[in-house]
Amino acid sequence: MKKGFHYLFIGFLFILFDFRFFIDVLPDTLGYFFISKGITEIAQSHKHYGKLYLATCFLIIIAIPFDLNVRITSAFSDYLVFTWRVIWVVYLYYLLSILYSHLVSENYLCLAKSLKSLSNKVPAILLISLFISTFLMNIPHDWAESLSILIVIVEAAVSLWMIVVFNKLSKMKENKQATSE
Amino acid sequence: MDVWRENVKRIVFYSALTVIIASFFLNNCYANNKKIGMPIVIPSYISTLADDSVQFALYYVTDHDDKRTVQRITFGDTDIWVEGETSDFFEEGSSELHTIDTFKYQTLNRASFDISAEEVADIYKKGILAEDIQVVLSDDKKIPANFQHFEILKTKKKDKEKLSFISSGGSSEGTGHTKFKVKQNVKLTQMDIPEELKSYYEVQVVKSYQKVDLPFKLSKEETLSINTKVIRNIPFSCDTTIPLISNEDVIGFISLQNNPTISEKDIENLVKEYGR
Repeated sequence: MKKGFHYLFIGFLFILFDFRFFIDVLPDTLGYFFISKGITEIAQSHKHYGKLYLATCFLIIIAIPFDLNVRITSAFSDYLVFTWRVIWVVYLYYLLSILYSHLVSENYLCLAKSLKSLSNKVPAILLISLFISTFLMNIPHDWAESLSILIVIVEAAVSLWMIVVFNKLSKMKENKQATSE
Repeated sequence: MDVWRENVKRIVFYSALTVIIASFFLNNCYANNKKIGMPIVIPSYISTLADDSVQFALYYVTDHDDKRTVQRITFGDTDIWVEGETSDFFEEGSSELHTIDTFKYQTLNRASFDISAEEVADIYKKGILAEDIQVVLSDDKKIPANFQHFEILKTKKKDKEKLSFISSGGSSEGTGHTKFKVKQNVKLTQMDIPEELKSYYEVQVVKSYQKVDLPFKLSKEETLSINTKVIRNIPFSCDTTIPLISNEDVIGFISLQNNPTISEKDIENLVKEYGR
C-alpha cells in the first residue's frame, strides 16, 4: 500500500511539474505509468480497477505529444484544450473516489481519512476553475488576465496539495482498523 | 448510506460538468459571433499635391487569432509596399490607440506607406478613384482600403506666389498652425475643408494678429496664420492638404494631420458598417 502511494506521489510529481528543455524532462507519460503502477498496488481488487487502469493507459498515449512539445495550431485548439481539461477532471474524480472507497472498504480508515478531503474538494475546485475559465474569452481583457492568474495559482495549489497528501500517505503506517459499524 | 452518498456525489459532479460544457459552447458561440472574419481597414482621408511625396498610415482591425497583415496598397497597377515593422507600435500606454488593443475580440494594427513624388504623379495621371484603392493581405486577398477621401491636387506655381509660406507646426494635443506672408493683394474666399472633417476641427484664421472670418481681403506684406484644433476624437486617420482659395484660384495650402483615436464603440460601429 505504501509503495502504491509512493508511485502515485512520483506519478503526480511528473505530471504536475513541467521542466521543459526542448522536451519535458519530467514527462507526463512516465507520470501516468507510475500512477498505473500505483493503482495496481493499491486498488487491484476494486470493482472499477480495470476501467481506471484502462483510462490511465489511454492517458499515457495522449500525453506523448504534450511531452514531445507538439504545438497545436489548429482552429480547434481551444476545443482540444477544454476537452483535455474535462478529461483530467473526470479522471481525477474517479481516481480519488476509487482510491478512497477502496481504502474504506479495506478498512484502512486512517489512510482513507487523509484522502477524504482531497477526494471531495479537488474535483469541486477544478470544476469551479473550469467553469470560470469558460467565460474568459468573453470578459474584458484586464479581468480575464487577472482571473487567468488566479486560476493558475489555485490549480497549482491543488496540485501541490495532492502531491503533499500522496507523499504523506506513502509514509503513513498502514494499520487496518475495525469499522465502527 | 455510503452508496447513496456516492450516487448523489456522482449526479452533482456530472450535472456541474454538463453546465460547464454547455457554458463553454455558448461562450464560444458568442465569441465566434463577434468575429469580423476579414480584416477591416479604418476609413481615412488623404489628399496630397501631385508634385509632393506623401507618407500615411492605414489602421486596420483583425480578429485576435487572425495573423494576416497588410502587405501592400494597390492603386490600379501601382503597388506600394508597407514600410518598416509595425508590431511594436502598440506598446502599453504609448497612445490612445492602445485602447483598442484591450478590446476582447479584435486587435488594431498599423501599416505605414511612403509614396514618392514620382509615384504620386503616376497615380494622379491614372485618375484612380478612392473606392478603387485596395490593400493586399499577406495571403494575397484584397480588401478595400476604405479611403473615404483620396485626392491628388494639382499644384499651380503661379498661384502659389500669392502667399509665401513662413512656418508650420503642431502639437500632440491636436493643435496646428500654418503661417504665410502675403505677396500681393488678394481676397481669401474659401478653405476647401471636406464636409466630413468640418465637425472634428476648429479652424481660426488670424490676419495681422486679429481673428477674421471668410471672405476677407489680404494686403501685400500682411501675415496670415491659420490655426487648427482637433475638437473631438477622430475615428479615422487623416492626412489632408486643404487648398486656400481666392475666387476660383488656389493661392496656398495648409495640411491637417492626425492619428485616429479609436474606442471600442468605434470598432463596433465599423464592424456594423463594413464587417461580415
